[in-house]
Amino acid sequence: MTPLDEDVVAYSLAVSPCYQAIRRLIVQFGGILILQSSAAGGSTLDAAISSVSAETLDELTESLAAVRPPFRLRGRHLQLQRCVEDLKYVGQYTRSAKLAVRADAAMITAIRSRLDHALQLLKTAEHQAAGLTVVDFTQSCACHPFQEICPQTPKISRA
Amino acid sequence: MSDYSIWVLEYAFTPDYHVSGVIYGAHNQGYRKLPYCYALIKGNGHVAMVDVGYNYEEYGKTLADRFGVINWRSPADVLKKCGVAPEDVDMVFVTHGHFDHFGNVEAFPNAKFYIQEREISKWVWAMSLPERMQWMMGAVDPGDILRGVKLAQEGRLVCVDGDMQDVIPGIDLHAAFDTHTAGSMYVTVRNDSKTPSQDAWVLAGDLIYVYENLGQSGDAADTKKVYIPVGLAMGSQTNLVLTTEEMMKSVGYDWRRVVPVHEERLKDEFPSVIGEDGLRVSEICLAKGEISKVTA
Repeated sequence: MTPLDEDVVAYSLAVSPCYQAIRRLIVQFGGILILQSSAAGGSTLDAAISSVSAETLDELTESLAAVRPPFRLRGRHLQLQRCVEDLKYVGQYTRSAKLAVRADAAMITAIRSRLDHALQLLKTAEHQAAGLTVVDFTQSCACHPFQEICPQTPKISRA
Repeated sequence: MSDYSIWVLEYAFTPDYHVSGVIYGAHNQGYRKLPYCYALIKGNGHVAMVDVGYNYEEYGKTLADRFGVINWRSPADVLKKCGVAPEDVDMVFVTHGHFDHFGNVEAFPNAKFYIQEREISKWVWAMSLPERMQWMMGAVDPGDILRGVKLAQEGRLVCVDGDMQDVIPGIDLHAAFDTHTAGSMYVTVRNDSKTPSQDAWVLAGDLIYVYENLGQSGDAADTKKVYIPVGLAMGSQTNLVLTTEEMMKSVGYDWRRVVPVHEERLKDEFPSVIGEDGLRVSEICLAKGEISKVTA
């Protein structure tokens, strides 16, 4: 693996919580839309909707603004900021108009399109070597979890 | 004679999967081959799948480079071995939301998908937790969730709340909450359409990875036959053991009738063939009039 430049490492460490928060929010909003579209029970849906607060999105905006990207990574950083704009749009509707969303397929399509857009932006900003990844494989059937989490740990001998 | 034919189809594999992932507590016991498979069920006018695997375009390179998952083949190539095309599949039972089970829905344009509602709602909950608790959030692709939204809009995603008997005649879905994942489920095929069935098969998803989970170590000297749960669990190993007992009870404690799709030794228990692509087809049972796909 090619060593990363120090400024890339520093930026990745600083932005990683924001990157992961965006990823989680896309799943949350997507899950809410699935529950709405499939007419899930009211309490399940309410709990899902209330799991995303307006403060979460505001905090994310502030945290992202506080990170200073190196010049050559400004494009990636801008993509993340655009992601958050998409998520704010989605958040408004899932919180304030949940009954309308349930009834209006066109609105769900519009919201899904913004989420798709956010995901594409997030993928554009992906940097696997720096740990910024859209899918976390550490709990899957494909992982070597210990090596993945602690890559310096020597691999044990095979049985 | 059976109502449904069942095949387990390998679509990729990793030669070196850590044994402790598939068998709880098996630390420092090295690695073994882990096949990636889905199950095909055909009969009563239906072509159904249990899980759909993952999409190479999305994850293939990453999985190959970082985790050694190799030899992926598309559903079109894999299903062809059983004379079926992805377009023929009309139902898919998604045992859980991990990318390697729910990651290729677009390959099945005419299918209706069944997943536990709790699997979705608990992912939403888990994603709301602080990053320091991210262990509970792994293996979910946001892209899969958004494709799920599209399916739901099209009326092709059914969120099941608990058990569902006769989703099609003789096929039942069983919730297994807080086990491998929060909303896992397994599928029972009652091939005599009776309840209780004398000819039932359980397709276990990731609730059972290998025969050791069913108390079958393969060692003749091991007479204890104790269930050892899978290593990876977002829920609890206790719930996995309780679910294993449920599954075993439903098949009269005939462990061969609980089918773990990640088990390489399926080829030793069922008629199987390995194709030129190095991937296996295991024939679990054949419906009346169906021709074997594994014998010449």
